[in-house]
Amino acid sequence: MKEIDFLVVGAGASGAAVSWRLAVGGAKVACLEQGGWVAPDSAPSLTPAWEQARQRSHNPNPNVRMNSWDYPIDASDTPIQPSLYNAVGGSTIHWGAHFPRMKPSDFRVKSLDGVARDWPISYFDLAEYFEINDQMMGVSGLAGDPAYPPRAEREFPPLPIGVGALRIAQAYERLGYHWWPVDAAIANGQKGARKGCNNCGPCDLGCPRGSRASVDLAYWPEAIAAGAELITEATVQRVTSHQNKVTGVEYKDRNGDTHTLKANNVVLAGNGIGTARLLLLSANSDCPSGLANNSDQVGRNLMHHPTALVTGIFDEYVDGFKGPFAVSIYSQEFYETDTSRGFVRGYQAQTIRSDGPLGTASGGYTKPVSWGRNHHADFYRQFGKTASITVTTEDMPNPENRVTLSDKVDSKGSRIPKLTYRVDENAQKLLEFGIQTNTKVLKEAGATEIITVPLVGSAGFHLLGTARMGDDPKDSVVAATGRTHDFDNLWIVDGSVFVTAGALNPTSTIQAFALRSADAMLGRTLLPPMDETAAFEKQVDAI
Amino acid sequence: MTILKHLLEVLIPAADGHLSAAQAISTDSLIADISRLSDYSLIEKMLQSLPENFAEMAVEPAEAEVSKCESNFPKEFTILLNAVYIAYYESPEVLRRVNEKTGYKINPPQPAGYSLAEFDASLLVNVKNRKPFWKVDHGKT
Repeated sequence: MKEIDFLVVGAGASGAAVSWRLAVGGAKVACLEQGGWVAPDSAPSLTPAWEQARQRSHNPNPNVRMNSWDYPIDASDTPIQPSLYNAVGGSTIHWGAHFPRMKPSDFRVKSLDGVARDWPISYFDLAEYFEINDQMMGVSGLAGDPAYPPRAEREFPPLPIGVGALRIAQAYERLGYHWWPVDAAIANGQKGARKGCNNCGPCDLGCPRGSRASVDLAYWPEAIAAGAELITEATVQRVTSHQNKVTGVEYKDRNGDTHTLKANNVVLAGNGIGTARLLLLSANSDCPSGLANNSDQVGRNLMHHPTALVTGIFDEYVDGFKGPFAVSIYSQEFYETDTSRGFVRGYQAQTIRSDGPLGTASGGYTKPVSWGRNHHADFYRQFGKTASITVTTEDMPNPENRVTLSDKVDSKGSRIPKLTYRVDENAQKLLEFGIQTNTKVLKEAGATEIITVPLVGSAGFHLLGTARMGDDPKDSVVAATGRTHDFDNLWIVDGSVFVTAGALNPTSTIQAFALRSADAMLGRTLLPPMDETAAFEKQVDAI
Repeated sequence: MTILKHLLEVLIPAADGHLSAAQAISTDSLIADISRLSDYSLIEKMLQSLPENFAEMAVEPAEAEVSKCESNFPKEFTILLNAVYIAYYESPEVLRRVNEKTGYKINPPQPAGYSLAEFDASLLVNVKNRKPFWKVDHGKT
């Protein structure tokens, strides 16, 4: 192997994006991924036991799934269980592909609302990178949303929203609330070898048509064609360092043999749990509390998006099991702070569809159907007749919410991560408010009964904040480029760099940041920021 | 085994052409599934808390006993109930009945997928005329 310019750890959403951008830019890139390739046609949605797979072999929680590529996570001290996947493609192998961008205000919560802290970059710094990423992933949607600065025309038209979301959209219109068809990283038409979506439903089980983007399809083929080398089933044990430089990594291959790989730069892309864990595992005599941890911020400020579910039961069938489960329409009516409500920041309401028979019975979006004499009646009252709205709330950074190392070890002998996390009072109030407002929406939509889940315990799919970005090395881990303050050749490009969490799905923003960071690594001039004022005025004039 | 079988009858009884859980599920498979994820001896301990005459009880008192079980062993009960639902709603016979009642197609979602009406942009009425409301630093909203 030639001298490696950039050694990327993790082949998921951010690792793929940064590897592609670096390789296309002419750098020698190698990426180590602890999982392997997942064939799209291995998706259980092709089999009769597809719903069982969601509960067992393809469960989003690695502690349940127990795939050989997974590492256990001690989640005994958190009400929100982790959801992530380890493979080429990372968690995009099993995601819903809801693809909003963080909003301009999300980067400025200290300035606007006096809480947490501002990011050292803005939405507008990322604007051009969002567009590049959208082209790579393939996005269906509709330009013109007044909740956002202008976006380019989407590559594909919006996906069908289905009967349930139609009812909810009409309710939003009557109530005067914002709504819009979502941006989805799902091709609503042919995109290269990827076929258009056929509305099968369970995107989270993988997509045999390749319609739903995953970065093993959307980024890796082009990255590899540009010269990036991807080494699979290679579990990085620690990042090695000498004085003020990182020197490479030690990893174990599928047989458990240990290898050392040297590189000029190391780029971490292991998500908010994996990256923090690796930095802590890489402690040495020079860095006794973990690598790049002079600030003591590694592992701290773990943020999710505390999520409630509000489900309406309709008298007639709305066929919610048809169509991509996570994407149809959304509302940002209550996204920004209104101090009269007694809390700061807000939530995004995302309309989701519903489940098949097993998901309905076991309470995928609601609560398990009752057992006993009422079981069958309760089942048929709900099956095919529900539509749900998620209340995705902003989670404030709290240094006591964190990733640390457990005393337990994984199958390769490395200490596993432990999550310590509490939902704070602000988020609790937000959840309650979101349940109230969406109960109103669903009643207006014609639902005859409402079922609420105040906190979705399985919603630990957004893993943010554990190596936060900032200008001050004393209280942050990386600078605005993703370069760590402590080592000028160690970079972090995943969600762990998030300063605050916003109140929406982060993948689009994570990838845009990774692309921008790649340009910084290459020493390129960064793409120019969008002119905020001009963008706003252009939108006003267009009305 | 008798107690587990009778518990299955209480959890999902036969009614209106639907099989009971005891009819649809193999208890051996159920135990094997639970044992993959949990310590089945804890489930056994819960089952042992049911009265000795549980299998002979009428429906109403049997449900009352199961409710007690649910309260006293919430974690174990949840594991068992979830495993029962998984096994029951994967049964071809059960799905056939769901199909008869609702028209739901039993085939897996792929490769056929579903046909749905395309998004109708004319639904966007009020919102399309709304001024941009993304918040900016300079108070333009």
